Formats: sequence, C-alpha cells, structure tokens
Amino acid sequence: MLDFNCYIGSWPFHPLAVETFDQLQEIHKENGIEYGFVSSLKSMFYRDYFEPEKELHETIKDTKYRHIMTVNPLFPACMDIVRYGVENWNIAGVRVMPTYHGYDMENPFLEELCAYLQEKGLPLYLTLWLEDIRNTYMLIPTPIKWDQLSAWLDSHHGLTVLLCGASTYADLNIHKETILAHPACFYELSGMRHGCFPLEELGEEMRQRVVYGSMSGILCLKSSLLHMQMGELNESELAAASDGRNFLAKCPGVKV
Amino acid sequence: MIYDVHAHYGLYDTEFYRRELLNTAERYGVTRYYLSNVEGGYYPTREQVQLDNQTLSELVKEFPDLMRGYVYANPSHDNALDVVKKGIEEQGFCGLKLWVATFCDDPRVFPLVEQMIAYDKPILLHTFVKAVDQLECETTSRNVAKLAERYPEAKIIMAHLGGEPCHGIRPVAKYKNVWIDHSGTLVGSNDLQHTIDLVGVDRILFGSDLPVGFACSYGQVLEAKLSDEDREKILWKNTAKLFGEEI
Amino acid sequence: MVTDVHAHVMTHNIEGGKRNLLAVAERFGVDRYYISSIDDTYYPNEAAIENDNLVTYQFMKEQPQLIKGYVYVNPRHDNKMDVLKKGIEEQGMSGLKMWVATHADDPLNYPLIEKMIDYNKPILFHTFIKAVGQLPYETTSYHIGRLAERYPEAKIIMAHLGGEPYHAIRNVAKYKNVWIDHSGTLVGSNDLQHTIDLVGVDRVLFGSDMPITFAGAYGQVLECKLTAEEREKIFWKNTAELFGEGF
Repeated sequence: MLDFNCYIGSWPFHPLAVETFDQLQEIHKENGIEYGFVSSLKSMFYRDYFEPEKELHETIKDTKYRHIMTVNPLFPACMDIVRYGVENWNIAGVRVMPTYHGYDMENPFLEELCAYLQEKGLPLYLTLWLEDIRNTYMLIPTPIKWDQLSAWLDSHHGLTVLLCGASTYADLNIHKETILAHPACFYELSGMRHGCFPLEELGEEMRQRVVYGSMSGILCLKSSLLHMQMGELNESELAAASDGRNFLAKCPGVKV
Repeated sequence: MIYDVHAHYGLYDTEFYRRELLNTAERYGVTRYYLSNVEGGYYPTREQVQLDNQTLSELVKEFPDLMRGYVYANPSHDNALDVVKKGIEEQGFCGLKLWVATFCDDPRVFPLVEQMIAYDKPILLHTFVKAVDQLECETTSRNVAKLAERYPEAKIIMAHLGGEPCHGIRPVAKYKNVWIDHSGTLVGSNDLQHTIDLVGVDRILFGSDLPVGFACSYGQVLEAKLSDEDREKILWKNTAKLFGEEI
Repeated sequence: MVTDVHAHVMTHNIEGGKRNLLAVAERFGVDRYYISSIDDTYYPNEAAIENDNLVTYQFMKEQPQLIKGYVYVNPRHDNKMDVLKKGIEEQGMSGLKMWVATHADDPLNYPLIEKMIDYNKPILFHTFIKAVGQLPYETTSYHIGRLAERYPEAKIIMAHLGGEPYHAIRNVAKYKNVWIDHSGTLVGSNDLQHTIDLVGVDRVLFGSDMPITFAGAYGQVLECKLTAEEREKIFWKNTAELFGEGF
C-alpha cells in the first residue's frame, strides 16, 4: 500500500505528531504502507521554495519515497524550479495550493505550469484543504470555488489531477459528474472527515478514482485509513486505491 | 569608493534632491551617482519625458565628476528611439532607464535595446514582483530573462533584486549579460547574501534608490559576509567596469 | 468494547441516522451509544424539543442495549425543568445535552445544572472555539471552566476537545469534574495525543459525533501512543464509570 498524500515539516501554529521523515516512515511502517508521495510543509510558507524542496530531495533520495514538489506559480522562478525538479530530482508531481496562496484556477502562470506537467505526464496535486477551517489560526484559506474548479477541470482533460483534501464526500458527490467526465481526475481520502461510509455513498464509478492519501503529519493517518479497511471497497477497488494503479496509469512521467 | 548605480533626481522639489544627493555623498563618501529622472507618473507623456531628461542633463553637467545620467524613455511613444539617441549622443547620458510604462520584453522596447547594444551601454530596468499592487506593465524577472535570452549582447541591469532574492534572481541567474542592483529598501537580513549565494559577487551592483533610501542598502553590503575585495566589487568596481570606466 | 459518548440522530433524517448507527455498531463493534436527537436549527422551539426527545426515547426502546439517551433542553424555554424531569424520570435518559442556545455558564442554565447534580448524572455541552463562524451563544472552554468552578459537583462533559486542544484544554484541565470528548471530525495528527498529555487519560471519553463521522474519531484513538489499558479507558471504561450504568 502507498500513501499518495503526505507531508514532512512542522506547522507554524501547533505541534504535529509526525514532523520528521523518520516519524513519517515509522507511521507508514506501522500501518503497512510501503512508501509515500511526500511534500514539504516548509515549501508552502517559503517564497523561495527551492531551498526546502532541495532539503526534501536530500532527505528522501535514498528511499522509495517520491518527491511531490510544492510551488506557488505566481512567482517568477516557478518554472525554473519545477524544471530543475523534473530534470534533477525525478519529482513525481507538483502540488499547488491556490486557496492558501490566493489565486484563481484561471491564473495564466498556473496554466503554464499545467501545460508543462501535461507534456511531462506528471500529475498536478491540487490541494484544497489542510486543516479544519474552524481551527485555523492566522492562516485562513479562501473557500474552494467549486463552480470555477469544475469549469477548470472541464477544460483540462489532458492533465492528470489529484484532488487533495476534498474535505467532504458531499462536495465530491455534487461534482461527481465533472470528476467522472474528466479522464484523469482522482481524489484521495485524507480530507474526508465527514460521513460514516463515504466511499459507499460515492458509488462504484467514483471508487475507481480514489487513491489512498493520509495527509500525515498534519492529520491522523488512521482516521482516513479506516475508510479503506472497513469493508467499503471490493478487492479490485481496494487494490487500485492501495497501489494507485488507475492513477499511476495516467501519470506516464512518474517512473516507479 | 562608492558607485551608486541606481539613484534619482526630480522635477518639482529639486532642492530636496540636491540636498539628499550631496549630503549623502559627503557623509557616506559616494564617489558617483548614476541617476535617472522618472517623474511624471507611471505612464509619462512625451513632454514629461523630455522635461525629465532635460532637467537631469543640466544637473549632470553641473557635477561632472559626481553625477552620471540615464536617459529615460517611455517605449510606448513613437519617438522613444529619438529620445534615446538624443540622450546618449547630445545630452551626455551613459545608459538607458526603463520604468513601468511597458514590460521590458515588450516588442516596442526592442529597437531601444538594439540601439543600446550599438552604443554598448547599459540598460537599467526597474524590476519587481509584488504580493500586492503589481502594476499592469511592471517588469518581473520573468520578463528580464526573456529579454536577456533574446539579446545576449545587451548589458542589462535588473534593479531591486527583481523584487526579492529568490524569484527575482533564479530566472536571470544563468544570463551573464544581466547585472543586479539591490536598491529599493530591500532590507531582509538574508536578501543580499542569498543573491550572492546564487550568482556570486561579480554581477551585483550597489544601488540605493536615493532619495528613497541609502542607509538601508549600504548597511546590507556591510552586513553581507564578504571579503574586502568582494565588497569593493559590489560597492563600485563592478559598476565602473560595466560602464567602461578606468579602475 | 467501544462506548460512544457523543452521537446523534438528526431528526430530519431519522431512519438514515439509525441505519448508520447500527451499521457502524456492527462493523466497528460499538457496544453502546449515548445519543441526543437534534435538528438543523440552533434555537429549537418547545415542539421541536419535544419531538427530538421523543425520537431519542423511541430509539432507546427499540435498542435498549445499544442506545442510551441524553435529554435535549433549550434553557430559554419556560418548560425547561419539565422537559428535563420528563426525560430523566419518565423516559429514562442518562444525561442532559446542551447545544448552542445559551453559553454553558448562563444563569438560565443554573436550575438545570442543579437538578442534574441532584440526579447525579452527566451534562454534555457542545463546546467549540472557531476561527470563523462562531455562533453567538456557542460555548467555549472559557464558559465550561466558569461553570465547573461554580458547580464542582456537576459532572460536565466538554465535547469536541472544546474545539481544538491547543487552547481549549488549558481552561478546564484543573477541574476534576470536567470530562472531555474528542468527537466532531477533529483529525489533527496530534489533537488527541496533546489532550492526553495535558489531562491524562482518565477524563478523556471516546465520542464520534455520528452521523457526521465515526472513522475519524476511532482512528485517532488507535493512533495515539497508549497502553491497551489506557485505550480501553478512553474507548469505554471512563464513560461506563462516569455514567455508572454498567452493561
């Protein structure tokens, strides 16, 4: 089993149970997760995200863990840094955080990034949510504009997109048609706090689009892992969510 | 010795500018200012540009040792090339200053750049990336990189570390025809040092943005971990060399 | 064994809610729920309250082993004492549930609290501190602290870790008559662990906020670094002891 959405680094507003790479490896091991697609929290807060990305690369380079680079495309060096990551660090995708970094999906610099990722066959990690809005301190993301997001998804069928922290299955349910109409839009489980058996509510087609992601170290890993374990997926669905085969099939640039 | 590659003169309260320039020169030991006069708003008219350059050329003549000038042009004007030619050939300016009327890689800028290549003189580009209030045609280091790529012979000075020393610097770091000034009240503890770490000292030029500030820029050069020789390069030698002066 | 001290049947979806509670009980092995029935209005009228409590009562009758009830009261109603008495004495409910109609330490609540002291039964308070969307009478841990100070004999359950454990727990940590449930989609990696670090395990109760979620809260208890005995305390023993009801 793999964890397609996890982080290392500290959170400026309170301690996390998992902050270091060692801790992340430990919790993965305890839960039978072979490795993760990991991002640096520091990058989210640094304008110069090159430096924390380099740190992340150095940290994980001798392991099976894969590097998901975090960028803010508004800044001029973004594409230089992304290209560097692709050419030198073998990154497995790029994470953007428009609700935290304050730009719309229509932003032309995001567009430039998406075109490049599409050309390279790499996924865009679209981070929607990191912590409960009620518990935020100082850092309050703008609300997800689902209408805009749906329109954007409709116009980016060539790009592989992983929705990270979708927050509620209700949101996913409402926008199911858009997600399913997209040939390569996936979501992961970590944001899914609501619902007793959300994957059952979402239905069979949507279960083809899920991969396992924990959002560890920000969130409790088992809280989302239980959605996988409590009999909500049949065997082939479980296998696809666990090793991400459907998702990775749409990411030809990710060399596993 | 201090060569300040980025300072300003004005139109309306010229006494204030003179006082600031001369007092600073005396107290800090500034040997030379490279000045531009950009009054008249973000999108100046032909008349304003003409007046800016006229006023500055008079000041430069008055202080032939201390002052040098950039001719200022608005590339959206159809006479912009004439303004540049007059500035270099008749008014005695030693470089071209472009501000925020157009992006620096706007095709209307190309004839001006080609002319400056012919003169073999530098072009100072206001450059900034802002979290808030970015102007409509305000050059960022993305634009500077494109211009540098297109014109490897042009001598380009990117002002203000491009706004900040990560996103400002990385896009231009590989272009050997781009120099960088750190003027403009950038006083982050690591701003100049980080720039030096990325591009070395040979293409970094001391600039103040005077009368906006001086101490803040000068303090940065003093605080950066540099050998005396490297500090001298930033404070004046790189600039002198770029403008083809005897060292 | 798992006892869920904080679950609901939402009276706008009674059958769906019951189905969820039963399905979760079967798959996760929940042996007992303490439920209250609330509706999607923050300030219910007398009729709504009566209906809510009836829903709870009927489910208790249907599933006497699995379902225990809180009587839900709006302290602004003139008949609040009657509602409480009926709930405890006639309908056989185990505790009092207070939501967002008054702050916990509002004098309107005092007679209810005093009566619950007589009954020697717990009071579950919705408690939350929010960065956005705090309701006008939404109890925070500040109010809980004041109430606990005034009524040391009252058995108070502060729900939802008071909203988050990095501020809310400190207000109440010293009051031995305050228990804490971690229900309500609080799934920060360190939330429950931090709470335990502050107050120990003896006053922490497993709660889910069903039907909103279950796995989130359950996973948190599994992930905490606890001995098997400590985990049992949180999962059911503390709650069993607090309610004194046995199985």
